[in-house]
Formats: sequence, C-alpha cells, structure tokens
Amino acid sequence: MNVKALQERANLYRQIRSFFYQRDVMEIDAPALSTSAISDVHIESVGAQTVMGERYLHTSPEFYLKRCLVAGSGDIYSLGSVFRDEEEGHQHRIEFTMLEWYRLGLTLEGLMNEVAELIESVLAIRATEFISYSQAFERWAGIDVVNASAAELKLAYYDLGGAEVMGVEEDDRALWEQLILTEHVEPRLGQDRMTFLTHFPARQAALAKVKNGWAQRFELYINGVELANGYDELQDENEHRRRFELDQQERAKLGRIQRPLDEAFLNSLEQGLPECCGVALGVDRLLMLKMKAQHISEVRD
Amino acid sequence: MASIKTSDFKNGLKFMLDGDPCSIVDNTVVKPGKGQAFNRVKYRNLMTGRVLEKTFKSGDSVEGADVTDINLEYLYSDGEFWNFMDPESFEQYAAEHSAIADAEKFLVEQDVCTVTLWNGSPIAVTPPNFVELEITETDPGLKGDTAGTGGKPATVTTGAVVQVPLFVQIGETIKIDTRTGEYVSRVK
Repeated sequence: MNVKALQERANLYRQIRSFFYQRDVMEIDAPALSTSAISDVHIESVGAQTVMGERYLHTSPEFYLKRCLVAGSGDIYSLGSVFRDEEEGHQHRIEFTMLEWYRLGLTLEGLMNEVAELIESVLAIRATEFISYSQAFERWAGIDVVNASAAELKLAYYDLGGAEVMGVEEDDRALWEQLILTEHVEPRLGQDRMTFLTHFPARQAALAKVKNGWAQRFELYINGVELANGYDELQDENEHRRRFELDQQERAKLGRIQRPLDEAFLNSLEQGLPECCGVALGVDRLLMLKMKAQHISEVRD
Repeated sequence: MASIKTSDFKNGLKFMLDGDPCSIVDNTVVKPGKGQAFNRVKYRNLMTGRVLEKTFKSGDSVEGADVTDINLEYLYSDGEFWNFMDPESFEQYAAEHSAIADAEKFLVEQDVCTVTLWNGSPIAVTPPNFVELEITETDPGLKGDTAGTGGKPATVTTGAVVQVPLFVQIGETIKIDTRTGEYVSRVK
C-alpha cells in the first residue's frame, strides 16, 4: 500500500470538493447498485447477485444524476467509484474513480473552460488548445477522416507505422478510424498542455446533441491520455430511445448481452431534462499525471 | 492446446502465432471510453528470438503454446545434436543447432542450462550467467601490467573470443558473463 498515493488522493478530493463548493455545485452520492444497466456497445456492466435479484454496478453516475437534474437539483457533481468489466491495463481498472458534473448555465465552451480551471489548479498546466476531430486527423494522420474509405483509413494506419492488427475486417471503417485515433493521433495530443478534441462525427454522438452534422462533444487529452469526455446533453426522449435501440442492435450483432435499459431514466425525460452540459473525468488518471505514474496500480489499490 | 482470450494476456504467456511459439513481453490495453478495446502486444518469437508487435481486437482468442523452461545439464555434442540431461530424472534431450545458436560458445560440460521446450523438444538454450573456460590462445601480454588498462583478444576452449586484460595468459581459466560475453575475472 502506497501511503503517498493515499495522501495525494485525499488532497485531490479535498481540492475537487472545494472547487465545486465555491461554484455552488451540489455533491450527489449516486447509488452504485441498479436494476438496469447501460446500452453502450463497448462498455460492459458488472453484475451483482442480491436477494432482490440481479443488479448492476453503475458504469457512470450519468443516469441517476440526470434524474436529479429533471427533479430540479440544479448544478451537481458526483465523485466516486464506477465499474466497467473487462477493462484492465496500464490506464484501466474495472473499478475506477469518476468525477462527473453537470452545469445548467454553461455552454460546452464554458464547460471546457471550467474543466481547464480545475486541471490547472491540480496539475499547474495552463496552456490549452482546441482542435476539431477532423483537424486532428488531418494534422497528425494526413487524412480526411470524414470522406476517407475503410481501405484508405487502413492504408493510412499502416503507412504511419501502425503494428499489424489481428481480427479487424478490411471494410470495418469505424475500427480503422478508431485505430488511427488511438495509435497515431491521441499520442500527439496534449503534449504539456490540455488539448480539447471537439466536433466529433455524429455517429459518435453517444448522448450529446448533434448540430450541423457534428456531435456537440469534447474529449480532453493530456500527454496523450484521454482524461475527460463532455457533452452538450441530449434532451429529446425519443432520440434517447432511438440511440439506445441502435446500441442494442449493434450489441446483438456482436453477440453481446443486452441488459435491461434504465426505464426510470427514460421516463424522467418526459418531464424534461433541463438544457445542460456535462462532463466525466477520470480521477485516477488525473492522479497518475500528478504523480507521474506509469500504471494505474501506482495510484489505486 | 486451449485457446487463450485476450483478457488472459500477461507477460510471459506463451501462445502460437503463424505456426511459431511466442512469449508475451508487454501487453497494453488500448480502449477509448466509448470504443472497442484492443490489446497492443509486444512478443518474442521463440524460434527466431525477434521481438515484434501486434494489435489484437480484445475478446478474440489465440492458441496456447506448450512451452516450458527446464534446467538441464549439458552432456556433449556429436556435431549434429547437443545433448542435455535432466539431473533428477536422467531423461535426455537432443537439441539441434538452431536451438543452440549463440549459446554454443558458452556450453561447458556438466553446466546446468535453461532449456526451453516446445511440445517436449528443445527450441532454445540459455547457458548459466557465468561460465569458467580455459584460454587456448592469446598474445603474450606486457610484464607488469596488472591494472588491466589495455586489453587483447583471447580464445577459450569452446572457441569463444573474449577481450581480456593484458596480464592474462594461455592456460589460465577465466570467468565470463555469458549475457554480455565479457571477461569478469581470472579463476585461481
């Protein structure tokens, strides 16, 4: 057990809580155990057996926090453990710490600035940079990501020196695009600065609004590490159901389990989710950057 | 052999790739928050010794390789095979030259070597970290040079050539670090 890491974590939590206290953002203790799960194609919930039947550990406090917003909570945040099965590695733990917050009065730009303020107070990094998803592909991979075919993306991936890939179909456009992002673009982002990647393709909207064909979404990178993911939050109930349904179909295609959807969350949307922006930030990774750790196990038991 | 899922990948795991047994040197999970996970794997091809990199889609499987390391005593070579024996079971193993490779010049009879077996046959031999060998050939050094500031090549009984200090002479036994091929000391 690394006592230094425990102290750093305690200090960071104190800093985060004081940051939000000063901004009048209320802390929410979101329940970790739920009767429903999420539909994300590439996120696996951890199941739990209880006397009340099958339950799931939350993969993020998102749905509960949005129900709070519908109920009229105003600005809120949550800091605590979330769980994603099958995710273990240098930067991944099945149980990890997530800071997630929602702001009613902020635009997506305003929220990015607030994220930058929080990071600056923790890491003493000031420089920020904003680059769109397609600009980043153009600059670091020399490819027009919007119009490139699967074959062109695959060629670019290998031309840039990517290691041989096993198990990806020739025509799997989405995966070749993702491989260029993770192997060739992401490592260049956030070199001694905060790089906000913005304007994601609409098909990667998740639960962000789509405007003019672009998902109103950002990701923050520091030293090549994906640190935060923020949305101008989707409000429309039917659009939520449509996207969940598409996710479930994709999961079925890939032979993955379809878990029960959060009907309490979906029903709450009928009453109207207020216009808001929200972001989730990986606290263990922030701590890794602070402590210059190479492996998540150095900052979390 | 059983198939191995990417979630079971770890350093030292032996698996088959393109017909050759390989050993994982480094396994990194690459997964964007919302994206498909991949395993970026550095591995050593145990037949060639080369370290290569491949990216596997997480959830896929590879075939396991029946590869084990055992300690065997080196017996002798007949020029075609290099023969080893398990000092406990007395079972003998014959290795071809491709398995011996660079280890040949440091094989000393009765030394215990680490032998890598694939499906029961030797594919690689690692000599002990230190071996003691007698010098059969070297130029006479300068008298009085005991500091070992200079150096000269010396050939030992196995044919290996190592740089030794000037004061070391033919007929003397020296200790060699087999990992670097460097002279360590004289053996009295």
